Amino acid sequence: MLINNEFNEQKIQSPLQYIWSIFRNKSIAVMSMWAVVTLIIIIIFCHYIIPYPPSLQHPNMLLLPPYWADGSEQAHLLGTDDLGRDTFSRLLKGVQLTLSGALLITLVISILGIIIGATAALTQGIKASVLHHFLDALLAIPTLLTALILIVLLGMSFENSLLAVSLSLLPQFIRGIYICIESELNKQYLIALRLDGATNIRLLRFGILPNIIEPLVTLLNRSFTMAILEITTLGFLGFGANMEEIELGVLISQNLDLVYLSPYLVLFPGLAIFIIIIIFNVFSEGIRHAVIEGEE
Amino acid sequence: MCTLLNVENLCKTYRQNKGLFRSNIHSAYKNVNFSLDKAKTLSIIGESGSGKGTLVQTIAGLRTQSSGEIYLRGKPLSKLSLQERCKSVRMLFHAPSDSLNPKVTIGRILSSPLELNSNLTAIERELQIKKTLNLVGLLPDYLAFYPNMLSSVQQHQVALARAMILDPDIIIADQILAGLDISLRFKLVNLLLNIQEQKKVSYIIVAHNMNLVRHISDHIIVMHQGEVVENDMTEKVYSSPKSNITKHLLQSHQPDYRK
Amino acid sequence: MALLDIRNLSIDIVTAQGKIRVIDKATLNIVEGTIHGLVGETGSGKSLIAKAILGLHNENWIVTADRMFLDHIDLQKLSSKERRKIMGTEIAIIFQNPRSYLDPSKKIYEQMCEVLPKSMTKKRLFNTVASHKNQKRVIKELLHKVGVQNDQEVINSYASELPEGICQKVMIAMAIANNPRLLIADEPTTSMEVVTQAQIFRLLFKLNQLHNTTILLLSNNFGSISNLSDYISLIYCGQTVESGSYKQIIKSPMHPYTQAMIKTILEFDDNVEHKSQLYTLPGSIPSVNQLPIGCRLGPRCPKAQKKCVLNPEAVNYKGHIIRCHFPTLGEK
Repeated sequence: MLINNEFNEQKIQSPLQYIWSIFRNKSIAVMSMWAVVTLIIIIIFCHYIIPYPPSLQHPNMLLLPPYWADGSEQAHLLGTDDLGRDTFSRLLKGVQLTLSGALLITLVISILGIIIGATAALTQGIKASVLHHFLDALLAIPTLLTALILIVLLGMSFENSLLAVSLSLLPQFIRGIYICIESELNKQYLIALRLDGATNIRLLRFGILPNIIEPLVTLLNRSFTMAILEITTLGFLGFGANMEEIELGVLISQNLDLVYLSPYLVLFPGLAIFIIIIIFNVFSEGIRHAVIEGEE
Repeated sequence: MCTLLNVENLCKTYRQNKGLFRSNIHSAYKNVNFSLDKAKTLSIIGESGSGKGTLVQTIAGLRTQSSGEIYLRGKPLSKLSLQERCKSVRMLFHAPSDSLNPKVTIGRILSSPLELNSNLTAIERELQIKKTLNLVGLLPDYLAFYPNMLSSVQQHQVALARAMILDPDIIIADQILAGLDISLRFKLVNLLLNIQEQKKVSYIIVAHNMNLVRHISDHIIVMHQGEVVENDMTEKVYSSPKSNITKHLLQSHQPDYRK
Repeated sequence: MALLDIRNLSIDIVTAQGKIRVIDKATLNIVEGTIHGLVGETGSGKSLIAKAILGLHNENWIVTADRMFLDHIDLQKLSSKERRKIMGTEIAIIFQNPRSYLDPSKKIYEQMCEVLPKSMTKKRLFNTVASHKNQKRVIKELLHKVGVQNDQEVINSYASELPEGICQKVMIAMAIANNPRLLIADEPTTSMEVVTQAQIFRLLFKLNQLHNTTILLLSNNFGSISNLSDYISLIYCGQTVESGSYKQIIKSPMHPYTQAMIKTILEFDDNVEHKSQLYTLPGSIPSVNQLPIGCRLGPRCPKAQKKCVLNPEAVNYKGHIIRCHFPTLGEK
């Protein structure tokens, strides 16, 4: 981590700076990072980017194809649907809702998961073992099924679908965190820190968290991907967002009967899901590799 | 003079489960007795599996004994709080590259025992850290470094500084000499001897290298499968070993092949 | 006569900071039927030399040598495929940490079957029982050779169930299965206990005496291998500093580094005062990216002078090769 700059002065980089300097040299990772930033900008400023209100109908322009196909209108970049609504605007709105929902879920479960997983790993006795067996039982049920059951119990709405998805993904995340911390706890520097009389919180903050970045990134990425897929699945099945709310899964299911007339209406939301997931995966893989290289 | 550390009838047993209902009791070490004076060195020698590691971990406070008691200046160790305990007994682990957190600077590593176990202010802490670094022969420049930038001896020095920073009475060194080159080993031994002279600390050294142990220790304990087979002053152990195991250990170090 | 003849072997490793010369003109001459000790501290590049002999290098290594002959085979001219063939039959290697080189999910028996000579393991349509028996007999013989007594128990267990010493013996048995001409032992006893260490060394010594196996013994401990080897080469930070026969090195060391190493074989009898300071060279080993120019021992050498910033040439005094500007001479 000791580097020589142009003036041959030795400069000490913190591990995070070092990881960043490795990350910066990976062109694909940097590109994916900018793509992620763009996506986040789209989420925030979606309202100002979209050319038309998403539910504005253009009765004289129904089912227009995207601009490169015959019979298209320049005003509607990606065409219109069967009620004459602008596909591009609706797509961006859909991305906004789905992506922000998934990011929110990832944030919530990462906080809850680290707290619960750390308590499970750092405490011993009945509390930990009850937690374990409970989690193991939850892990046996497929996440989508858990989400569906929760939705039925809570009632159908987009908010409830978010809640259901996060609750269904939480056990996996906790389990992952628990395993990371458990394996980390056997390291000698943590034993040494314990002998110094460190409290559990200190142990977690200085001892464990800086050393589990790599598995943490993988876990977060996996939950994020799962969250997107589940939100859209629930939307597609009609358990999540209702028809007024524009969500990528809902968009696909709405336009499914028009697939022969205008396949683009189904294609674009599907592609959007695909691209979002790819971008985030490449990004997290870039971080992961940088972290691994930084540790060597 | 009151003895610093006194270990009486220390035993540790494990329950090994065999099948569903049966279990047999396996003892890691039993009936260990010894005492250690100030500024003296005790060495514990034995093959792996002889229970020497578990024994020193018990003294350091990582494990609890099944029976028997350890007295520190006449007070039973189990009655002391964790803080008092780590102010007087500190442990050195055998590989400093594992025992120093790679993501934390040397300065932080050294200041955390002080933060946790003393009421010093930030300035006093810094002073103490610099004093300790000077003691182990490192420059204060190293405070901003991360452990993996240092060479293995420097890492050992940092680990030693972490142990010495609270001015303990006893330092337990768990096979710190095993994985090192011979010249580095000598360097570390010199450092340990220096510190002992200056600070009057006592060492408990776990080792399996017989000749260096002879040089640094006053008292030797040889363990075999959990039992103490030899417990005497260093010179006596070397000149007239009582048990076969000690003789075997003495012979196997640097045997002469060309005769 | 020389079994392995290496002259001026240099290894450069290409890193982000540029080329680093990790091995600088190493010369190694191994006589058939002897034990050749290669002594150097951690990071001095012993393992790199061993890997270069075997051709186990990565792409970012640049290996150059004036001469690299195994008997009459020029190792540099061989393709990697031919080289691998030689590795199995002519050169064998054993490593440190034997347990990590054994497959944890296979029994020792299965692993040993894999290394048996081809003719032994040829699948026969008939008579499989007999060939099985034959294999088992050969394996047991091999284990007996390396001094494993409870052979039946060992071949039916997994590597994790065996103690480190037995694992190393199994590794040695696997290495000598094909009767190699050269056995490279890469620090075979690090992190082992004294008793096991002595066993392994005794075993290697016996192999050399009884079966005339040539052994290249790499170690970081001068004391533990010096009285085992017939010839010794010392290496410091990638430079061979001195090499010669056991007698030459021990009786009349010429290089300051060798003299320092010899002082590390202490006889703790009466001449060393209890708890006195031990002798070491000042300073510590430089890291790979901050190597000094010229003689790399320079900054730590008690005899260093201005001339030492130039790389000394190897000088040969009756087979006693030394690289130093100011060797200790004339004490014979």
